[in-house]
Amino acid sequence: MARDPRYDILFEPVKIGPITARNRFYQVPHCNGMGRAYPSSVAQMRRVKAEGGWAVICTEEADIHPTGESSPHNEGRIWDDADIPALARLTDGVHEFGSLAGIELAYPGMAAGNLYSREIPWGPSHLPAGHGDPVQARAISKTEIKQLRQWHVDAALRAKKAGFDVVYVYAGHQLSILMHFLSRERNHRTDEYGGSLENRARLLREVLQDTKEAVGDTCAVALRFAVDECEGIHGIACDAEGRDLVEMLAELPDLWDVNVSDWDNDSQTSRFSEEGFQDSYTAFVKSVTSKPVVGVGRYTSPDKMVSLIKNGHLDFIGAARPSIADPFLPVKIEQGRIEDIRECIGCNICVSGDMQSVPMRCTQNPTMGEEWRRGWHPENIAAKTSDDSVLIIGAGPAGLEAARALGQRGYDVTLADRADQVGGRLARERLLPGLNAWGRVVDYRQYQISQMPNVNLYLGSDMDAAGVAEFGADHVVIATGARWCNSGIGRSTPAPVRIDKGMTVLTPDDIMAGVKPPSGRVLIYDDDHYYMGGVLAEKLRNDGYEVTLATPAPIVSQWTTNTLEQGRIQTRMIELGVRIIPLHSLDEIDDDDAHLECVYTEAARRVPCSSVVMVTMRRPEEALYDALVAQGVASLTRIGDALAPGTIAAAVWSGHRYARELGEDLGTAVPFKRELPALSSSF
Amino acid sequence: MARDPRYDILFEPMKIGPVTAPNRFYQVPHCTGMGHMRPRTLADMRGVKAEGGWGVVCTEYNSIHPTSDDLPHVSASLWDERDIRANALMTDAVHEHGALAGAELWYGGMRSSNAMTREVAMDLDCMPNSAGFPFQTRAMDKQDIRNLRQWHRDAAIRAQKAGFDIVYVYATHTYLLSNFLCPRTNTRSDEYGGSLTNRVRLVR
Repeated sequence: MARDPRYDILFEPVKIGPITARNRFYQVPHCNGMGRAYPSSVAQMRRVKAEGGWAVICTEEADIHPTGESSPHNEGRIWDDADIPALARLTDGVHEFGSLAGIELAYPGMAAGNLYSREIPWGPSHLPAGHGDPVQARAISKTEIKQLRQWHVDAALRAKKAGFDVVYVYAGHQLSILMHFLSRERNHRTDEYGGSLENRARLLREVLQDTKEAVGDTCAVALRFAVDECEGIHGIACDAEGRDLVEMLAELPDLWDVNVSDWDNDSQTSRFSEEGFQDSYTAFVKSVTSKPVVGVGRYTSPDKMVSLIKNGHLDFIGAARPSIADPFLPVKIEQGRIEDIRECIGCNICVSGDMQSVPMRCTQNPTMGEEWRRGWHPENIAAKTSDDSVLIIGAGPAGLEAARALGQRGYDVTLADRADQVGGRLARERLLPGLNAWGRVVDYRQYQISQMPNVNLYLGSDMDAAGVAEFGADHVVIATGARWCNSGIGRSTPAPVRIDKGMTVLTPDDIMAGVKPPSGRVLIYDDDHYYMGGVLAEKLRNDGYEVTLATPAPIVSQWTTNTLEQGRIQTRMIELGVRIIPLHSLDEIDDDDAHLECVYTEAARRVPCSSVVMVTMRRPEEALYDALVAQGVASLTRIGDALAPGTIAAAVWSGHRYARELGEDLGTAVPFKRELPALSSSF
Repeated sequence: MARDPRYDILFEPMKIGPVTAPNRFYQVPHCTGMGHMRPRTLADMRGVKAEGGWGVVCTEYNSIHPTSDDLPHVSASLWDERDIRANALMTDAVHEHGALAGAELWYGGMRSSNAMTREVAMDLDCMPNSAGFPFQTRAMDKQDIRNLRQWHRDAAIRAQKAGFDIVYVYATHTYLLSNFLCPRTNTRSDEYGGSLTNRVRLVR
């Protein structure tokens, strides 16, 4: 299919200083949990995006010197020439498809504790450094400022040698010393690098000028700048110094890459913001510079993209997360395959990879991070190796993805679910407050399999073991999901708690099925720590209940620190009037109250309530599996939550993996390539 | 200066099964934040300890299989033949000074993240990951137990190939084998649960 002419504008080449991007799709720098520790994985991940049509592909932050290094986070590194070969692998892959490669040179200053190099972090002023690490940054001298400028120049020259076309100067996310100098709150200097904005911006201006002099003849020099720190008068704001700075440096960089800061504001999840949530902050930039501007906002709609260009808001459609969920987004628009776009759901499971220093994963795109180590491609998959048929029971995230990917391989697939709709857990969870966009996981797959003549979907089909046997498929896949437990067993409580008969005890499944707790106070006991406890508190509060949320963790929805949502969730709980009891585990439940216990002192505390919602753990739905094991089935496999309850991302991945591996000879060794053993040929 | 004779006893060689430690100083297994990611840094650090006179120098927890991965906490690994070279860097450094090298073979169960390998971890039951990751384990059946034993055996053979003199069976710190021992976590009704004899069966 040809491209819809209304999208032509997205495919116009755009000049950036001395170079030209082939279209307007721009993958802004983003971390990935791999960085320097997994260079082959990163190179192939970026290469696949170039293949998918992104005109500019950037690295994550690449530390330029050991005195500013982001460990334990796996960022990039360009300390000396030894780092060039790994980076050149990335630029070669990107160039193969005619795209430009950009590198985000970074010096984190007080944003890093230098845990690996053990160097003392540098900053404009003496201030605590790192993320709660017992390390303090040192105010640097003017001689050291000169050194810092030289390190930027050296790194820029190395970047050019490694084949990069776009070289960044980074002043964003409060993760860069250049931004710390800009900050009134952090820069306490009294010399010409402190005080007025002109002075605070001096270092940034100098580094920009140095970089242009060093590599500007052949490389574009981009400035990544947070126009608003979302801190009101305490920070840079787009209607104050943010704008002043863009006006001040307007024509100096070859490109403006603008966003908001800190990272939790830049990468807001769909639970808290809509596509285009940064537009109001960044809209002014193009009006004060003639240089091309790239901005972000979880854009996945081509029509929205066109309007951003036509309205003179942006020159490039920037994307991190949408390019992770669908590395082939540009190609799909170009080929008129809008329905095939795998839209980012804005869940930030990708971010959790960087936060935990492990390779990033994606809920929508199970091949993310697997491009090199498993050889998985987001669009291509090996053809089937036999004419076998596959029966999948359960059309949740795992079953849908298994059906889609097996269908793509050419297998005859039957997907059955006893419900009247597809989606499994997501059919329920997408209706919870703020989780609507998560339904894209279902919608994408439902559409894809609807286009496949070899995949048949049977809803309202409650199959038992006899029915499965009668059906006679060569391979049976159990994707029956899991159900929340009401016994109280969980992380903190390995044994069931005593529950008096008079108390109504419910699970998230009950609430999602529409069960109304009796009037009065609801106690949500959250020993799960991801989103469910907090989101149910929000729902029940919205439904008019008095809600108490108790958790053994010190904060609400603790694991969501990894998705950058925790602050917003706890703020919302407080604003909604949810009573929060942290650091307490559940001991027992009487007819009209619950007994909690302090996790430190074991001091007892009674919470009067008329119902308890247990958000603790799930049990796989394994009745059918057990019956089939007893009956004997030649090829029987569990996937997703039916195998082991986990995230939606893990379920999709599990289904995808099954489809990839069916009929393939996997051997018994480690099922993927490992970076260090692969590099060890140079030992 | 010569050694004070009252400390002579600390320097007596000690027989441990088929091997002999040169003295009574024993560096028990401990984590380092290096493991499989920084094999040379690790080997030199352990080698320095051997040089410093420790009669036995052990690894950190050394994973036997990709379903036991603990990143962001870095373990050592003996998943396949390709791991032997990195481990041998350490055993060579330790042997250079006449010390014995020990490998602490490890299977994490409900306490391992598997955040890098994305594999489902196995444990006694389907339970939430105890380190706080949003994943649950799956319950081991008899075939899984047989597989686990095989993985241990394979890893032990690889450890031997890598030059280790001592191979650990690791049953503490709420990792898998200790969960089998524990009457609170082990609620199995087959020959691996119930009486102490049964709970100890897998470790045995």
